[in-house]
Amino acid sequence: MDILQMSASAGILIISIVLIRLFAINRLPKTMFIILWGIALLRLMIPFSIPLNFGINNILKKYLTGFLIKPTALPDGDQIKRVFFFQGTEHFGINTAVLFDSYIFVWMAGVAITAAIFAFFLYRGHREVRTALPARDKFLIDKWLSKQKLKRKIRILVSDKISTPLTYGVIKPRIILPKQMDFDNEAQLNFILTHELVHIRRFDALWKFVLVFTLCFHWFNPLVWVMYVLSNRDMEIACDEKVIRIYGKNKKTDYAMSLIEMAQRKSGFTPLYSNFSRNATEERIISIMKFRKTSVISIVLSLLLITGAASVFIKSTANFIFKLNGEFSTVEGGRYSYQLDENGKITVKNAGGKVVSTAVLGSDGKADLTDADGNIIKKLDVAVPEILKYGKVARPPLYRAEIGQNGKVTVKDADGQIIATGTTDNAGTTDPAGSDAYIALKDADGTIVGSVVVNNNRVTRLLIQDKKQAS
Amino acid sequence: MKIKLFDSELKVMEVLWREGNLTAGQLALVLKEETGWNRNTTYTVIKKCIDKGAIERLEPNFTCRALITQEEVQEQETAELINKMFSGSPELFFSTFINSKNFTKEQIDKLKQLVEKLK
Repeated sequence: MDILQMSASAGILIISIVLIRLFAINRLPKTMFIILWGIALLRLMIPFSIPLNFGINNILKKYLTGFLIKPTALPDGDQIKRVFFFQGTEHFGINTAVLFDSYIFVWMAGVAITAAIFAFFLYRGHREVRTALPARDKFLIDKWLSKQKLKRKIRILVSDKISTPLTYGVIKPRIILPKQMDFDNEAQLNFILTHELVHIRRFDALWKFVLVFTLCFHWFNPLVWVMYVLSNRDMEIACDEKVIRIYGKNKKTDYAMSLIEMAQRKSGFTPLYSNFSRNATEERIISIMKFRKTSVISIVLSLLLITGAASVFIKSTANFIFKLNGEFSTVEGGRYSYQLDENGKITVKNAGGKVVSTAVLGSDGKADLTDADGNIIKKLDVAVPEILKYGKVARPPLYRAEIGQNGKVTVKDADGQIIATGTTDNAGTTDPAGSDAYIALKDADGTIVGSVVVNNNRVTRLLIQDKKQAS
Repeated sequence: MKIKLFDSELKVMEVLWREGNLTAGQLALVLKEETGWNRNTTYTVIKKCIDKGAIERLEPNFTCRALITQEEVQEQETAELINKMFSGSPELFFSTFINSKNFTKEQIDKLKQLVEKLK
């Protein structure tokens, strides 16, 4: 699966999450939203899918493939547009690697730039907090610490360079408190420390890193940026929800007040630190005040939504039709277009759109295109089956059929071993043009294993009867 | 000449005031012990102190010498506090200070002695 597909199908999920969030954020447990974002994140990072016959990818392919067309140049200056794929029958797919040439460099540049920008902010943030000092008024802090049972050791420090508390560090988590806070206000201190503790317990520092990492690769997709902003906010909101669960619903006003007090200061952009941000504060306060105990309905609804979201991993197995459109010019200045359809038949049209000839693509990918007078105007050579990588391991063309001088048809497998043979009736001489000769193929034991269709001394269709795909 | 120091820089100064001149390497070790800073962090803070004129760098070995004393900084900070919060009035500061803390008998006696000395 390539990055465009991952990005597109995650994009659909992201839009859905945004819509759900818009309408129902205060009616569903906030923790569900971070699960949903997690699914979107996985979709962006994992290139595999489960093959089933339905799912969001089918819809995607049907309606969105148009976006994914990219022109690429053939060696002699043709323009080729791939329109669809073919999968699942005896014809071939097409080598997808050809299609994204120069765009790959643009993408890589984007990844590098995005990564550099984040690295810059990360470095700047780190410089501010690394000079934090152990707290002096430690009494209440130690009291809170002694009640915590986290496996990892938490260090709590104070800095005069920040204005709101933050936490970072995965293996050695640290909470940095601003110097200008009231270290004697036990209630407020407990709220703040517990909030940061929830971040630590949930490994939010790690998730933030993964988000940034993924965003770098999907920099071109504005929906992924939306996901980045919203999922960070939702991490905070889910954290608040947890704090209220810990302290009890009747404390929610006190908690909201302490948030408002802390949030009255500004803080800079810190991509990896969980901290109190003023922009999102209003959303958080509302969410806190609207906190309600989780009802059965909301749990059921959440599970449904999550299952629906996970369907983004189901791979489409809808058959596509392989077509190829091409255009070219001849030395004499004639302009032609050709179209290859799913049966391997090529139709050649002139500049006026009138059909001038037809041809059949051989299973070796070659065909001679002629003009209205029968002169060969183009020798078509299509890169024949490297079977597409749709979550499966790419397989090389399985079988090649060749017609020898004596009219003997030989079919070889990928290793070059002869697996079947047949003979043409007319020993390689030209048939009256246009008639297809069906020839049975037998293996070394004389068992019929398939057939070839020969036309004009070329193999046009090859069918091997076993479970594997044949070309 | 007024030098404004962040907490991290003050911490470095405190170590120097306590231990006397130290090399940067020794400072780094002490601070690692007392604050958990890594070497680079300490060196960066030392550099900031040098830029602000609080520390002088002596060779050999990058020895650090404090250019201001702890008393100087205390006076400076207190004066700023009095100006900022007590309208520049030391008596106001002093009376607020006395009334807000609970002093033990020994402390009160000591304070009395100090005031006597000033007379």
